[in-house]
Amino acid sequence: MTKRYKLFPKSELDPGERRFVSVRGTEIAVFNLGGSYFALENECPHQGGPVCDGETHTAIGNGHEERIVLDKERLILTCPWHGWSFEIATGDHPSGDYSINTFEVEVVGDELYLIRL
Amino acid sequence: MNDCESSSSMYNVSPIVDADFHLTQAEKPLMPYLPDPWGELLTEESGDLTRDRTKFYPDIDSLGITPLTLNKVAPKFVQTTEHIKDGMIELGVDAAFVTPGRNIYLNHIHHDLLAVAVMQAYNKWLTSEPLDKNAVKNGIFGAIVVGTHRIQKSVAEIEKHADHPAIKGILIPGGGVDPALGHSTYWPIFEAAEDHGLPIILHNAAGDFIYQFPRQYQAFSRYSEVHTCSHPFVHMANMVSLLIQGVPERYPELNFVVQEAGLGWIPYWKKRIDLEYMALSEDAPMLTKAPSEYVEDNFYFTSQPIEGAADPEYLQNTIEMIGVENLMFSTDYPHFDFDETKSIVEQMGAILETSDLEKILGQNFIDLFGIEM
Repeated sequence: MTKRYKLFPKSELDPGERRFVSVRGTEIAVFNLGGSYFALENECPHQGGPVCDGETHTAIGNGHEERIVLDKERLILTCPWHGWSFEIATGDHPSGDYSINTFEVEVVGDELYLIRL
Repeated sequence: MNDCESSSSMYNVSPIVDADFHLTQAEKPLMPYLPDPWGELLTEESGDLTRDRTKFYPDIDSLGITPLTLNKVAPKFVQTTEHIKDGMIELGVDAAFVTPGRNIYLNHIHHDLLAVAVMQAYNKWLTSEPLDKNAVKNGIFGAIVVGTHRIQKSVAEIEKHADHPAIKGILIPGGGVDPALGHSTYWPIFEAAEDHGLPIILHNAAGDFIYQFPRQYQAFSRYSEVHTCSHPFVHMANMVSLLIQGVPERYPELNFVVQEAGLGWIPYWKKRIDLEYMALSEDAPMLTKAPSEYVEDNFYFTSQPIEGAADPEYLQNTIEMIGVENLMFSTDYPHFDFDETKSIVEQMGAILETSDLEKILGQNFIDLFGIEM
């Protein structure tokens, strides 16, 4: 059964920022990427580090080009413990083998809600 | 099929293929095959001079690295079809994949155009003599050797010999390459090999450690130190380069056969590269899966020399971590550290299911190279 948890007004999270919340004991970071909202659990699948505390950077393109190409559509989050990097929009590591737990964020009026089972 | 058809029957497992069976050629058999003007140039009379131009491979013997252990065991002379057949009977194998003798040092020849000439001569000699018109019928297969001095010349060699019925792979001597093999310089070779459906065979030499990255000769004082490290260290360097540079992603149909470094380093290296990649994936943005998955999908390893073969627990665990489908039995005949068939069949037979034993002893080779036996 899907449940909605009220987070905070969307006016309190500007584009390019993140905000931490606790939902039923789980620490979650909510990111605003150009007006789209993404929620990731603050636990790295590698060894449990505070991944959402890490730095973000633009993704590097697929590498088949003869020069470094930036993929500005994708923002990467890097765990401050060991450098494992995950795409914020999907929670996925490039290898496809590991992911951060992600949650859907719903905008209802002026409020943000976290959707979880 | 071939004169050695009954060879493996003594082991109750059939067929058995030796995936690394060496010729013992040096310069002499290649001389008649050198393109003009090299044959004349190298044999020109020098009058009162004592310079011998006909020794073009590096001479590790004269480095005096250790008179106590180097060449303690003299290998057999293996240069003809009859020699190969004799060796196959002695080993009890049904087929053999022949690999070079001194030409394993091709990439150490300093003069680039001479190296190209030697490459061409070796491949011409190989496909005329040891791999003659009866080779396939005799269960004899092999790889042409391509160097890295002039890449387009190497590509031309692939185009020239790819359709020879006994040629089943493209061997790159892994030692002596600079930069490491993942570099884009070498991509035309990989493209040509993939186009022709021929795996890349990676084989190093004990003396690589003396001349080229990861050169450690100066740090060591005995031949055994050099020999212990040389084969696996050079493979490790080239493997990580191939994976992080995305070669298997770029050429997804291309397979690699990594020879003569034993077993235990393989699972370690897979895990090690994965660990590094997970933290530093920005260095390999073209990969769509973990490096170890490319190894499992596209890399094969010949077994010799099996360290710990007499330790059943080590052998079983190591083979399991590598993957039965990725291993191919080899002897390295006639070198001093060869694995003898009977011993390996017994040791592996004690810890493997028959179906897995058959895969390693011959079926994986047959499947990879598309051999009919």
